[in-house]
Amino acid sequence: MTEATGRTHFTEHRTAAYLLFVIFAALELYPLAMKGEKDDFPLSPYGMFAENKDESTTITQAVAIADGAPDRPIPPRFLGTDEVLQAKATLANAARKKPSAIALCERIASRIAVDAEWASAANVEIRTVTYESIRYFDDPAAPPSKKRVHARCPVKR
Amino acid sequence: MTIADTIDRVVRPALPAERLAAVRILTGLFATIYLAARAPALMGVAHHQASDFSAVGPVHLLSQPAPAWLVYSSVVVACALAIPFLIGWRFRQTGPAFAAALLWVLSYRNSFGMVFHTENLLVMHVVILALSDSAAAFSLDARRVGSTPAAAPRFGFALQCMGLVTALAYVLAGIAKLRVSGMDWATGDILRNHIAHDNLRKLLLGDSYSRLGAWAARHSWMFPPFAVLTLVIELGAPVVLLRGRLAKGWALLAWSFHAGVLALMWILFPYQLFFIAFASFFEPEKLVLRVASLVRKRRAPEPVAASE
Repeated sequence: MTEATGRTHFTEHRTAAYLLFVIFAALELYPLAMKGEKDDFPLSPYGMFAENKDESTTITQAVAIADGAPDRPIPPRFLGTDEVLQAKATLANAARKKPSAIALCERIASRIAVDAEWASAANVEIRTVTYESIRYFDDPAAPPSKKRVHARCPVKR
Repeated sequence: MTIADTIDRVVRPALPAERLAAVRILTGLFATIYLAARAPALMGVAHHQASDFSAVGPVHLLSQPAPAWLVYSSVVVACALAIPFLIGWRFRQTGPAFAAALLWVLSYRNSFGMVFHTENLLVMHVVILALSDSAAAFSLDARRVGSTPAAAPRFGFALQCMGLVTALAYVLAGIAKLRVSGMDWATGDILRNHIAHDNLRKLLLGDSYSRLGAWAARHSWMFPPFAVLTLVIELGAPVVLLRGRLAKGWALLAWSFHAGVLALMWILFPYQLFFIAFASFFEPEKLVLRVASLVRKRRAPEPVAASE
């Protein structure tokens, strides 16, 4: 008997408890059977760091371009999120079609136009770049091994 | 003792109601603060592009993004339901309702681009606590009855269920590494490449990254010991089901693993790093009782000085 409520709780029964235990085990292990399927939530195969990562990093980014200064990556908050992975997904999706890339570029440009911290920015660029990951940290000023510009738009103030 | 008895003592050890209740309070407190702190981000997905929508979990019920008012109101409902979960008020109704709301709002947020693996265990633990008798002590429901039940298998069962899903999550991560990359994952440059890639990706996206990780990536000899330790922790996780010192030792190792992930990759697993994910392996009721005693002492009136 569950004294706190005056009623029995179903987990008091051995059979119900074992059944629930097996159900939770099966749910957790279910993603193992989903070979090649995409990740899910809250049941995941946790394969995020499993694969042999390419030594190069290719990423679509938004950068602010100012005269006489190095290009500056624009942080996720100007893309409407505080999550870097969601920013990455938004940029990757936008880069697939030119009109989407231009629309996102203009949206970001309008947001940084009213931010004093970005006063020197003259243009925004959405581009996909490739770097050798480990080598980058030895020489961050080195240019990317590949670069493709999807959209470029002025920061109108 | 028969094998069946041994299995029963692993699956349903007789443990105090206060221990399970203390885990409910710690998990509920974490969930309440987490939801409140993340509310802007959880509501922010209402303005994401429909083209970014890729349903996960229960959100598969939707074929397109939900209207903004539904996103906002589900976050508000989840925040509101966190309180009765925490204080154990009408728990048989509010517990499962909170678990469902939490599952929904976090799944919905994860349905726009990327899945955040930092929240999986929190959701699973809340679901288990909601389905268990975790409000039999330290709750308004228990106060109404006026007594706390003795140690019983149903309390130990829920704690072991939490240990089970914790262990399996880590084991799956270990299996995925060995299945995809074999022992190369431990002996090669895979971990190093991941750390370099992850930090560079954040840097190029204008986000914070680990300078320690960026520095470490230049020294290949550092990574095989980290990789071996990672696999040992992940594949050794089932020892938590034996409880006692083994479970506590594993929890400390797992915590240090997450501290290492934060230091080298700037990835924060708050549920693990605040140690709430591992509370079920310890005696958190001692902490709750100590806090309650401190509160009572503060509330107690000052003794009146005897008149001369």
